[in-house]
Amino acid sequence: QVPTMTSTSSDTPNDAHSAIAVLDGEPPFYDSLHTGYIVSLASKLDATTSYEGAVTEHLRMSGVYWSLTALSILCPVEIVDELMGVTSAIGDSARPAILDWLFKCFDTGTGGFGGNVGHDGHLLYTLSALQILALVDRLDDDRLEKQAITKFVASLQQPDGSFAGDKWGEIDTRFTYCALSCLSLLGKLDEVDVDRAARYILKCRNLDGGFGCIIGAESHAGQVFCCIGALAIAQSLHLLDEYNESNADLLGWWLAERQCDSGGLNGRPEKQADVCYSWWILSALSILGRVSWISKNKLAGFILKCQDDDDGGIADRPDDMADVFHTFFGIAGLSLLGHLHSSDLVKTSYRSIDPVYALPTDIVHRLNLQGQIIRRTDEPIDERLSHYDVLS
Amino acid sequence: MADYDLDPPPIISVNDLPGLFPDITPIEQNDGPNPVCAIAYTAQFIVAYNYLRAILAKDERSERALQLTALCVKLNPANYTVWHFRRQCLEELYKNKGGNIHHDGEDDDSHLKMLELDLQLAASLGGDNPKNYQIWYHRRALLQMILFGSNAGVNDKSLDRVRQELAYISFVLGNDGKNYHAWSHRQWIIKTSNRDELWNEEFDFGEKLIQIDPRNNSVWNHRWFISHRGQHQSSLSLNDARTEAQYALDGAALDPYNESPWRYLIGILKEQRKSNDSASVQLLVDDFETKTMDLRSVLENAGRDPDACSNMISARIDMLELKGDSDSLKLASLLANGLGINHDTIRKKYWLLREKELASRATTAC
Repeated sequence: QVPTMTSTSSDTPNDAHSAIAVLDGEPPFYDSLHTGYIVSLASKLDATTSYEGAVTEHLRMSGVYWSLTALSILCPVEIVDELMGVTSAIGDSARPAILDWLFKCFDTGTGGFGGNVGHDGHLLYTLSALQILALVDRLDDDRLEKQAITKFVASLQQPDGSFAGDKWGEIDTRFTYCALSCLSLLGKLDEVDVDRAARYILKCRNLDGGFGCIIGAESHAGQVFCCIGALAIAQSLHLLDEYNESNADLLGWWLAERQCDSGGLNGRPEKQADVCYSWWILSALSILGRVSWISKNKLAGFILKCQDDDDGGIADRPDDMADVFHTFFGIAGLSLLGHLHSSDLVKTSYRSIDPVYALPTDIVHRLNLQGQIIRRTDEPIDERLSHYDVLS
Repeated sequence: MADYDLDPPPIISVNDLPGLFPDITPIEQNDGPNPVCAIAYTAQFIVAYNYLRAILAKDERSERALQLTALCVKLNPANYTVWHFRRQCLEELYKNKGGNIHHDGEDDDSHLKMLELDLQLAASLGGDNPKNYQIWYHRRALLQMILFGSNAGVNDKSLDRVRQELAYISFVLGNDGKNYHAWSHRQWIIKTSNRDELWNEEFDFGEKLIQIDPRNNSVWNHRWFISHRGQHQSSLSLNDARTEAQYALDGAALDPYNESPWRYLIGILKEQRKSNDSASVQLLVDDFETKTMDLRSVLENAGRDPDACSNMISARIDMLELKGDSDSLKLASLLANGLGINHDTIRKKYWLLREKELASRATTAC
């Protein structure tokens, strides 16, 4: 079944090539297949007969963020807008512009965005909404109630520095990351106690140097990304080291140990490799300045093998069914590894992605978002991170 | 101990909705005609959620709204807004039954029965959705009301109730011993109850699970949590540390390729170094480094090359580094070289870095 393009334009730059060789001996990167997969997903999920659409309806805001950001790596922003109908509706489609739908998801009762129209405001979807606005340079849209959103986010900080996801009070280090990223995007980090937030994160560090969802919870690579990302935004990575002992080393090694023989990364010891960890672990290692501690080529090979070479999209592991979540993280992972780069062979240049904010680097630069990374003297300088505060 | 009931309390069906809500006009999500060939499941979904939208718009927190939310979470257990609204309905009904959701007084059993029924609902949905955040959080919210609302803390009667919940969590872990949510929930209830009996019983519980699967990293994490009584900043006494270190080494002896017990051992030793007097800690480290060396024969007897067991070697490197004298650091550097060049080449760059750093420290150490 051929994925349908909703764009009225019959010619996108990516038609020029269908697959790009990125690594010898590995499957090529199926650039235009993935673009087609992502673009056709929107109408697929919106169909009233779609079961998948129905059971993911409540998190559509995040789904849109994954779709748009993945496409943003592959295409310039104008093309993304045209293909997906972000700032204005696609000509012959009944679907409203994404931004028009986005603002309908704002929950005036809480001051946050819900996952879809009619849903309660939650930190997860508030971040996704702000990230979508950042992608198309619309954080200054009149409809964005910055004050209300800032108040919502700030109200979720607990006395111990942690963050709840919403007024119901579930605490998770994911929410610390969401909160700090939201406020950074709005330029309002000073509305919360950033230091206390950072110190709470450190309390979630475990015997193995990793981090869990709350104090005492098992170290998990996804949570590690949230914690390290939060510390990077808070410019508090120095808190990792104490007693003259490098806990950044210990954590770096724990992350490196997640690499399996297949080249893929798992999230905890003795679990299966999964493409999404390519992002969470790679971004954490990028912030820590220790990406070389894993085998980058073996990881890239794993991701490439997880592609669906018929219909596009990327799955959690080879031969499984693709979904937009793993498609985004697979593409982001390949980008962060440096395997998607502009070449003379293709007319399009790919955009690089930022490990702290999970947005294209050029957007992070334009918005002048604050952050911090660790640079080891034995690692080359990563130009993509050159605007951040450096902890050596 | 009572068996928890996994059958759900009866949930209404889509066909009941017009009768239950004769006064309500369902609100459709999109304007436009219903598709002619809707898949049956999705059609049910559409009807149920159309009614929910109407009820949410009215903010009607009633018995029938509660029933509607049960159907809606059954259709999509991940819909967090429905769970929220369900809790709001429960609060309202609880209040109306004369109960006080914030537990300032004596409880009438009927209020608790309502909350217990909801736990049954959550359990019945949890079976097919063991990794669903919303269901686990709903359990926590209900148990918070049932167990921890009053200022009296956990008394003997509620202790039994806690054990019932622990049995449910054990059941879930029996299906998937690494279920992150289940472990997190278990830690929450143990720590919030904070009863000596429960802390002590957890050692046996963890022990059983490690026997079943020593490579289950979650159980090792749980042991750390239990041995430290959930305190992230406290450090064990030297005696307790010795017990824990031995436990870890015994676990490693069963299967030296297992990452978790080695991490646990090194974690214990490092914690001791930060908190207890250096002479005793040095003896402890020496002792366990020797015991680790002895494990080489376990591998040799099994016909395996002990130098290729990278988890064991890396733990030994850590212990030699803790010892800190020049000879130990030189040996550690050599072992790191072996891993980088031969036995753990996927992490070659890490080991070569480690080798260099250890060698350089060896020259400045005594």
